[in-house]
Amino acid sequence: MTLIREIRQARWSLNGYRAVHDTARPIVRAVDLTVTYESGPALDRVSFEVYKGERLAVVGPNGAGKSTLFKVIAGILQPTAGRIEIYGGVPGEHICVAYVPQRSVVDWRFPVTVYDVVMMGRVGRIGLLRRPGREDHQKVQQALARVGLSDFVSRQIAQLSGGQQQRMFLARALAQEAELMLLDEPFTGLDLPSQNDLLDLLERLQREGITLMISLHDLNLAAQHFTRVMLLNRSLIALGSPQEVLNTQTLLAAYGGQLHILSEQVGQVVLGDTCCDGGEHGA
Amino acid sequence: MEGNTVLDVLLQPFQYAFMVRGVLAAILVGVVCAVVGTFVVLRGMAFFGDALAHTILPGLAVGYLVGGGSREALFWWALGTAVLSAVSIGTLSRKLHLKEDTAIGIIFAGMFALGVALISSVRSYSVDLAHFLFGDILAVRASDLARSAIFGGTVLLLLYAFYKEFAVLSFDPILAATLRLPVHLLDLLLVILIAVAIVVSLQTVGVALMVAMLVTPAATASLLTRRLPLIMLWAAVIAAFSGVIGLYFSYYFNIASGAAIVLTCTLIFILVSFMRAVREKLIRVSVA
Repeated sequence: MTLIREIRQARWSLNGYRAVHDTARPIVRAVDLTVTYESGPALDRVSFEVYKGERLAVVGPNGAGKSTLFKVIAGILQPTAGRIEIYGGVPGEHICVAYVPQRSVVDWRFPVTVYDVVMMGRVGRIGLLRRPGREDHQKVQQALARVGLSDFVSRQIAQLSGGQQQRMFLARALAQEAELMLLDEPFTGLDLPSQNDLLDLLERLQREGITLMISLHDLNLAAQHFTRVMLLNRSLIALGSPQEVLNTQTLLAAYGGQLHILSEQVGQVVLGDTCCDGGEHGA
Repeated sequence: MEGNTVLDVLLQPFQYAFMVRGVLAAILVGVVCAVVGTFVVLRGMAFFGDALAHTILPGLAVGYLVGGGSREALFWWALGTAVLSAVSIGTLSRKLHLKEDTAIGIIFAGMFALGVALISSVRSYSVDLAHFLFGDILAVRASDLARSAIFGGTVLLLLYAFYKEFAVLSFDPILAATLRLPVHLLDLLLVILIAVAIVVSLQTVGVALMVAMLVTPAATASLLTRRLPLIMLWAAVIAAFSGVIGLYFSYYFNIASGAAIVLTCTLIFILVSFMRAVREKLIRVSVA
């Protein structure tokens, strides 16, 4: 079954690959989206819409289903029940959704240069049995310039800093001509200057019309730099402005015992989200 | 005089046609295995490659019995068995949710045992079991060489044609899926290419040492350079060189040819890793 579907896909890939974009529709629409693994439910009847050009933070404890959600949106994982649409179509027909992996899952010793990795973003567009053409090289160079990595093209990927590695993957997504980028924990493990650089870059991409969904551990970052936040713990706890989403009730619902909330004169200080680097995050 | 004797040593083996064919086979097989092997190493499939080579044994036994010693029959039975084993491993791990190395272990041992059982049940096989296990490069005929060249060449051609897809799939399978590449088809193709490379190499090194041809040159090359195409090139050069040097050793010291070739590969690996360690130490000293 899979093979037959792929043979058909391979034919599209030979003849050029374009899914219809009904831009009147939201770029992402989830209706009662449910994913169940053998070990239990990962997403439970999640419904939401994301509009073109948005920058959405996705927060929630470990195992909340953030990665699962991204994989379903990217069309890599089929939902058990419910629906997911990209511009009204099936995700698997779209080549414009990029998934930017967590840095910790990448094989950094793989024998490729920065340029090679960014060119990999073009592979779907180049098509089977073809070599990269002039346009592909141009797109790769433009993408590298846009993220500020033009001087690092021939470096082996392990020789980049954490922030540069993250920007390289954004360049790959740009080379892919992605309209929707799903970033899995891009800020984890970055120092403060690199975090700020990345935030600047993401803001720039958003201004250029790219839709961004970014999973985060740092609630502070979500509150300060995002206008819309999704709080997830298998089911959708809240979705809206940081003020609406990041309050005592919703955070308790999402994090439960992992969270310690202190009342202070200035407002509330939330200590916790013990899942990542053990740091303190105010909200 | 001195120059003449060296030349004699180098040329003497090649007065025999079987040595010429043997060297050509060793180079051909070395190059094909090394290039396929680069992906085997990058994707951590060494155990799979080793297992796949061993699972061929029952196919060889049946092929021998059915074909009455025809090389052609052996080739096709071996190839069929390899592809069947590869597909069974995939199916077993997917349908029964077994870890892949567990599935490989089950098929590997089961098929190899079946092969030994079949061969031991027919006494006249006893001589040939060693040939299957360790190869017999000096028995390579012109027709074997031609068949190896056609199939080995096809493997290289397909690897070239799908190079960028295989590279993406090896580095980042999730990217491959979001680019809507036919991931399962490509996986299947790679496994079949590995199987063909193994079957083509049977006569040279045999099933028992096959994994060395897949893994050692590629691993050595990845110590020398950090770029994928160059790794493939170096791996091919190292493997071809080992094939030639191994055959000289085999000729002059009367060592089994497959073992001599594999040992040469291993020696080069040790040499290169030692040189690398020394170089890194030197760099550290010069920096400090």
